[in-house]
Amino acid sequence: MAVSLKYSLHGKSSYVLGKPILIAFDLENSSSTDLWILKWYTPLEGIKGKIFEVTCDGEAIPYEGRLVKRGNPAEDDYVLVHPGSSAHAEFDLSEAYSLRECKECRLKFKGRIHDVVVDGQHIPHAADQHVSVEVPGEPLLFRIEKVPTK
Amino acid sequence: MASKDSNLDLFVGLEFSKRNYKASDPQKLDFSITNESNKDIQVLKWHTPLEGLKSDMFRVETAGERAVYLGPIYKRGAPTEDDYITLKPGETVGAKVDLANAYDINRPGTQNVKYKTEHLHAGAEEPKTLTKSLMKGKVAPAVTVKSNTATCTLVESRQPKTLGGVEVRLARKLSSEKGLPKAKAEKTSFSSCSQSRQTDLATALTKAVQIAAAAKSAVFNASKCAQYSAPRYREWFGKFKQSRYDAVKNHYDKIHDALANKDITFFCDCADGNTYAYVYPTKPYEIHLCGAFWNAPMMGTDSKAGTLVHEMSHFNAVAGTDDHVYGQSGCRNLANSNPDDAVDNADSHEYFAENTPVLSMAGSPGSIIKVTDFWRSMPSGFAGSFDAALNGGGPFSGKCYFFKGDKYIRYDWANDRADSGYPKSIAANWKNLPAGFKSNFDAAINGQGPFSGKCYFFKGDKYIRYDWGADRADTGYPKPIAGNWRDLPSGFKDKFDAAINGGGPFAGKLYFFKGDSYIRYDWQTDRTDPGYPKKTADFWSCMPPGFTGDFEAALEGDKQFKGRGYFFKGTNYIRYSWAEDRAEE
Repeated sequence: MAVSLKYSLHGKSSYVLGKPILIAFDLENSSSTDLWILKWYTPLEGIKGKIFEVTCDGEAIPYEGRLVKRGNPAEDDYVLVHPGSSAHAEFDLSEAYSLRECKECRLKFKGRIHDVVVDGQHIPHAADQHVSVEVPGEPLLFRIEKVPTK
Repeated sequence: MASKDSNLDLFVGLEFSKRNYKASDPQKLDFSITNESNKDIQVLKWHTPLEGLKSDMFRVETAGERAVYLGPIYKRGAPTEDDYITLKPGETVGAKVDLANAYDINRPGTQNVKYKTEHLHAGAEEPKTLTKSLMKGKVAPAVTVKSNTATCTLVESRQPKTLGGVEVRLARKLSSEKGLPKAKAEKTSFSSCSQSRQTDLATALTKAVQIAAAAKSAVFNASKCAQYSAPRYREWFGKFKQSRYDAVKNHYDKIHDALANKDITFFCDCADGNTYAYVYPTKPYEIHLCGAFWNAPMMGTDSKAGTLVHEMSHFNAVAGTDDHVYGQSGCRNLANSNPDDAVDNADSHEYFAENTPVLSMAGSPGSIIKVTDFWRSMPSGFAGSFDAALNGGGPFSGKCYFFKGDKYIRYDWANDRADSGYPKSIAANWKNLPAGFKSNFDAAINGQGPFSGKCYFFKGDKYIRYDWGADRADTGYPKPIAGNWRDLPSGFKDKFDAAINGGGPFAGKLYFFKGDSYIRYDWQTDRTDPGYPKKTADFWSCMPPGFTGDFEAALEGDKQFKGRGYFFKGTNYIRYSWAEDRAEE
């Protein structure tokens, strides 16, 4: 299966502590076929697991959001991504992490997509048939400040 | 039986129906409570046989070992008035219970049985008042209670009970006080849960405690051999590594403790049909149940009980697990490809605890191999049944020698084959051997530490010393083994079967084997270590059947085989890994 995917994270260079920390996630299909992507445990469904590594000036910030045990996915847990285009989602990091002021907050998506299906094959896959894919991408760096800088 | 103690309110009497029991017998115990005071006393029937054997209310000991309770465990709210019984002054109530049914009593011998009086709740007050104090966590009775110890003898072994396919035995390491399932008037709270869901959850929690206890028992009681090779551990957590194994032990200890003892709040507030449950890792012990949970079976794969194990493992205060992968096949792959993640994965813990399909937690014994299958070019007559084996020292390093009768052969470790031109006569080639020490050795060993450069040959109750550098036996020998090898325990002063130097974590020690036992000698202190002899089968892991004693020769591996110990018997041998401390497959 010629699956080629990469992710990217986009956001501001600086956020205000206590306000939402909105970050965009894109998962690009860089292969030549349509792909069905299981949204589970990816930012495409919001934050529902320890899917990120978050450090604040080098120190790990523990995850405080939900950890969800799933059964089998439904069809609409998948999203179709055409070659060259991306699945896009935005999330508020502050909903799942107790962030604090820091010069360099580093956000890294761990990169695991739990099931990727080439278009034409039947979806959904039962959980035990899932084929996970590790997707490359760059971490996002930003500041978190107590008051907005002028 | 009645006590004359004037301060006594209640006397709990225990008496077995007979003195001796056979394995197939029920062990009926007569339990009675007598009101020794001059006032009415209310006794809560909970944790007494008056309501049956429904909690771990007895201490059953055989030779200092506690039998594990395997009966039901009930999670309860507040007792009602019906749960109390009124005892008038002088009145006695009683009930019979079968201890063999609820406790894993399998060892023959004398049993001492005590009732845990601290679990008895009673008082002169009204039931309502007593309930209030119970709910405040005051379990100890407000009255003085005494009890006797009942004694009986199990005259033969009984089949041990199993939990989830694992022999529970006396899980004493874990059970010391808090380990195994025990009754606790813990409060389980529910939010938005219907009565039937509350009932379901209470059952699921009871089962979760059981499978968590069985999982804990499995990892805590596994022999070293089992830790390395048990299919159940391998399946879900992958290749053995001490730090990972310790983490898993710690996890089940905490998961079990949390399920059994912590105040859990269940939220029935999530309808999603594809989701079983969720938690927030920083919010112990709040568990949110979703649609898929209610359709799950009580036990087995992805069951209600297993889901509670899974969720409990997530809390940072418990095991802090993640969801790296889910599903059985995902977890099996993870165990293979990334065991570090497997021991941090919630579903892996769930599946190990559910143990469906059932996998064994028993170890696989090491392999018995024919000498001539792997020791190459062994000359005729030297296919086995050696008297002794020894590595060469000094100018003869890289070689090893096998002795048999009055002949010996030489083996080259690097070439991994026997040198040609052998066997040769011992007497003609090992110089200056004293009379009586030219054949039929019992064992041979190289000296270490202060005794490096020497080797020793043992025969009967004497030994000689050979110097590798001078290539001749030292004068002044043979000497008696007893006295010159210090602190040898009785029975270990002559006629050794084999001797081998320890490697890896056991370097600097020398082991003498005889029959089914061995002793350990320390080269530095030049003394036998205290605490020996021990049974070889008990401390040498994964020794296959037939290879737990009566060895004929033993040899340390060298060159590419360093770190291994070889034990020979007849025409076979086994290989022992010092680093893994087990016989290898």
